[in-house]
Amino acid sequence: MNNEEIIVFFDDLLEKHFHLKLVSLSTVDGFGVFQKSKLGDAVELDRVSAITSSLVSLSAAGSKQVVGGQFLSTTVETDEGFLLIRKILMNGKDHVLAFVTGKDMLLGEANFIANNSVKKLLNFN
Amino acid sequence: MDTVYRKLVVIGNVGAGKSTIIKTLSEIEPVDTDVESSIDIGKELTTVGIDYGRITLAKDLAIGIYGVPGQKRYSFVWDMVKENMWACVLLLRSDEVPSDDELLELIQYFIDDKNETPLVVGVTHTDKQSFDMKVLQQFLSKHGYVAPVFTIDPREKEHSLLLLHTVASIREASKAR
Repeated sequence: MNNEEIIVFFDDLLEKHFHLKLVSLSTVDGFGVFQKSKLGDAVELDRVSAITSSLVSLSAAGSKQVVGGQFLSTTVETDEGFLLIRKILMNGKDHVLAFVTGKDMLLGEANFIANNSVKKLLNFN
Repeated sequence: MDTVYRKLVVIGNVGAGKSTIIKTLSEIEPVDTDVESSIDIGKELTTVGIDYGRITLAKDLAIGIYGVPGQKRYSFVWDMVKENMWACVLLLRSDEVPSDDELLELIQYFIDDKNETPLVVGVTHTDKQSFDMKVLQQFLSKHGYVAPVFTIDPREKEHSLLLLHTVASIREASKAR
């Protein structure tokens, strides 16, 4: 999947799923690669990259040291929606894929979208 | 007697040795949130979460050592960590010293009560670049910070303990006043 295809893919996701508010692909050290958002200026996209990379790093430490497994995903549940985070290997480098939903999207649907997006991005990789 | 836990925060610029000093000092396996850097910052790994280690200083006193990312865009982590800080260690890379404004901003971010929170400075990588400690001490003093400055190698336990014991001594002395 080249850069243009990723942008189109993110556009399609946000268009298709009304309650999906933001999709973000970042490097593991917190630099934004591609981001699409319906949230306007309410959320600084650079901040999304920094926060999601921090959450992934802490979740990975927890996975390894507490659970004894490899980190797969993190879900943050709020009264306004979910933040779902996946680690994804693209072009030989780990990346962070994050989704923000509104409160009317069910967690199952959000997980389905997130997992499906990972598969698509990997297939195009 | 119950053990009291205190929070020591290690701050400083990228590559100064914050994660290293925690690895050196910690008596438990540190929580390590280093990831591969995607840009050239002079080293392969960078901290993006919180590094954490722990050391027992006395029968009733354990120190939780928290390392924060050096990059300012992670200041949301700084906000979380600086709450109830017991003491602060500032590490500076001698060959990449931040500007006066950046340095002051960093210190002020963490220490807003100059008389209460002990600060100790460790200058690292002095084998690569010599460093004028006097200039730094004068700078700190000009801005109201009384902070001992040492050159250290954060890989050396003795050097790292020197910083730790110094902040602990300052804390004890301020308690006695």
